[in-house]
Amino acid sequence: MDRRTAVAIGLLAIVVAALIPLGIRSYLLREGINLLVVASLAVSFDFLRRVGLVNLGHTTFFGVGAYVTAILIVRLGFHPLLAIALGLVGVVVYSVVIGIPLLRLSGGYFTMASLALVLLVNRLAFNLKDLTGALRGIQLDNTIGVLESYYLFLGVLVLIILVHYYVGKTKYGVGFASIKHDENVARSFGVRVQRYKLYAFVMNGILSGFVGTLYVLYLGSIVPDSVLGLGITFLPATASLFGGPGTFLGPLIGALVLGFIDSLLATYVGGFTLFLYGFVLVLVGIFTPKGFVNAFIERFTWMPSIGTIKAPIDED
Amino acid sequence: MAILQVLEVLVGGILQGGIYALAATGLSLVYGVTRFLNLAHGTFVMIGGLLTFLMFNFVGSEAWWVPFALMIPIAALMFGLGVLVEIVLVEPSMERAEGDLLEPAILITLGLAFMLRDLTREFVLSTDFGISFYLGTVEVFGLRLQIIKLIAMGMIGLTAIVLTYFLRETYLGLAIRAVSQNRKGTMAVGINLENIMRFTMGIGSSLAAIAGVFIVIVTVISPEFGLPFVAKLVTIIVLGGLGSLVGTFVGALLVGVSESMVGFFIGPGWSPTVAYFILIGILVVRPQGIFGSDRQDRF
Repeated sequence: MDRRTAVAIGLLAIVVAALIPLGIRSYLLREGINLLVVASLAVSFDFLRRVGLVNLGHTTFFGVGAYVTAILIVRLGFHPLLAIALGLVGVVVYSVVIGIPLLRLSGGYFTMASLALVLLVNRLAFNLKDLTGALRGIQLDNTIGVLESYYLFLGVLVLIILVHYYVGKTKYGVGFASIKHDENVARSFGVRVQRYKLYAFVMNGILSGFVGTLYVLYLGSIVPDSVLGLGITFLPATASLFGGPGTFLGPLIGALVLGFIDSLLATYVGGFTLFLYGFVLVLVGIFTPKGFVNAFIERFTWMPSIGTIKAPIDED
Repeated sequence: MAILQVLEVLVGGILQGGIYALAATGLSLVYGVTRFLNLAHGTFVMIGGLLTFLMFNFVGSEAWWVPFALMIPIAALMFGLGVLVEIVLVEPSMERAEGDLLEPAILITLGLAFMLRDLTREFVLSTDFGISFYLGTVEVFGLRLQIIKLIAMGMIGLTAIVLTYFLRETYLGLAIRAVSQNRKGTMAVGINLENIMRFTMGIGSSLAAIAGVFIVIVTVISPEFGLPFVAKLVTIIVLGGLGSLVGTFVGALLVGVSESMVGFFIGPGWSPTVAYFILIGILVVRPQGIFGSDRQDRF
C-alpha cells in the first residue's frame, strides 16, 4: 500500500465518520463524541512515548485545560474563545512547571511519579473550592450542541493525527525517536535530550489540554470526576498501550476498540464493567505486550507498509 | 497543651508512616527484582485488609491479639497469590515482551487491579470496612496514646526488624538484593533467577497484605482504595531514593508525619496532597531521591 492509497483510506474514514451522525440517535452521538475524545487523547498520549516515556498523569493536562477554561468563563466572565486560548496557556505553564522536575526521572520511575500527578490534580480540584466549586462543580451558561460537537471533535482528532504525523517528519521527530532508541547515543550526537523530552511533554500537554478546553464547552458543567475521575484517567493511556506505540494507528484503533468495548459494557452490562475491562487489558498485556495493532500488522504481511508511517528511525 | 497535641499528631503520623513503609518496601523489592511495575500492589493491600476483616468476623473473638495473629495466615495466603500472579500473568508476558516490561506491566497490573476491585465490590463488600478497636489509652509524660496504636507500632517495628535481618543475613535475602543489583552476575554464580523472582513477588504481596491488616485495625479501607494508595507508594519510593530500601523507609515516615501535621495545622483535605508536593520539591533539589545514589539500581 503506497502513500496515495493510505491517504485515500484516511479520507474515506473521515467521510464515513462525518456521515455517521446522519443515521443515529443523539444519545449514540454522545457515545461517538466520547470515542472521539478518547481517541484524541490516546493519540496525543503517544507523543511522550516517542521519547520512550509512559505518562500515566497524561489526563491531568486535559483536566487542567478544562478547569482553567471553565473558571475563566464563569468566574471571570471571559469570552469562550479567549478562555480557550488562556486555557492553553495555563496548560503550557502547568506542563513546564511539572515537566522540568519530573523529566529528571527515567523509565519506570518517571511512570511512577506521573501517576502521582493524577492524585495531586484531583485533590486540588477538590480543595480549591472557591475556584473549582469542589463537588458541586462549575456550570456553564451556553454550550455547544451535540451535532456541532461531534464535528468539532472529529476535526480535533484529525488535527491531532496530522500534528502527530508531521512532527514525526521534522528534526524533532527524529530526535525523539533517537532518544527512545538510546538516550546516551542521542546525547553524544548532539541531541539536547532533556530539552527534547520537555518539548515532547509540552506538546503532549497542549494537545490533550486543547481537547480539555473544548470538552468543557461541550459538557456544559465540570466536576472533578468528569475530567479527572478513574474512568477518563486510564482510558486513553490504556487504549494507547493497547494499540501499541510508533504510529498514530495503534492509539487510534486501540481507542476506538477499547472505547467501544467500554461503552458497550456500560450500556448492556452495568455494574461489573471494570472487571471485564480489566480482563481485556490483562489478556492484551500477556499475549501482545507490544500492542494489539502492532501484533496485527506483524501477523498480516499485506499491511506492512502502514508501518512506514512512523519516524524515519525505526524504534526497535 | 498545644505541644502535647502536636506530639500526639506526630505519633499518629509515625504509625501511618510505618504502614506506608511496609507496603512501599514490598513494592520496591518487587520492582527491583522483576522490573515489573505492579500497579495492583495497593489492591493487594486492600485484599489483605479485606481478609483480616472477614476472618476477624468469622473467628468471632473480640480479643485484641486476634487480628495480629491473623497476620500469619493472611501473609501466607497472599504469598501464594503473589507467586500465582507471577507465574500466570507476569512470566508469560516477560517471554513475549523481549526486554521492555514497562508497558505490558502497566496493562496487566492495572487490569488486575480493576478486576480485583470489581470482584470485591460485586461479591464481597461495597462499603468501607474496618475493625474498630479501642483498648483505652495510656499516659506517657502527659501524652494520651491509644494502646492499640502502640501495639500496632510495635508490631510494625518487629516486622521491619525481621525483614532487615532476612535481607541482610539469609541466603535468600542476599540473593534477592543481588538480583536487583546485577542480574547477569547472579545468573553467573548459579542463582535461580526464576525462583528468586517468584519468591520476591510472594514476599512483596505478603508485605502488602500485612500493611492492609494494620490499616484495617487502625482505620477503615474500601474496595476503591487500591489505585490511590499505589500512587502514594510509588511517590514514596521515588522521593526516598531510587532503589534504596532505607530511603523508602525514611520517605514513608516523612510522608506519614507530614500528612498528619498538615492535616492538623492546615486541614484534613490537604493531607493527601502532601506526598506529591514533597515529591516535586525533592525532584527539583535532588532528582535521585533522598537516599538515592547516581547508580539507580542499588539497594
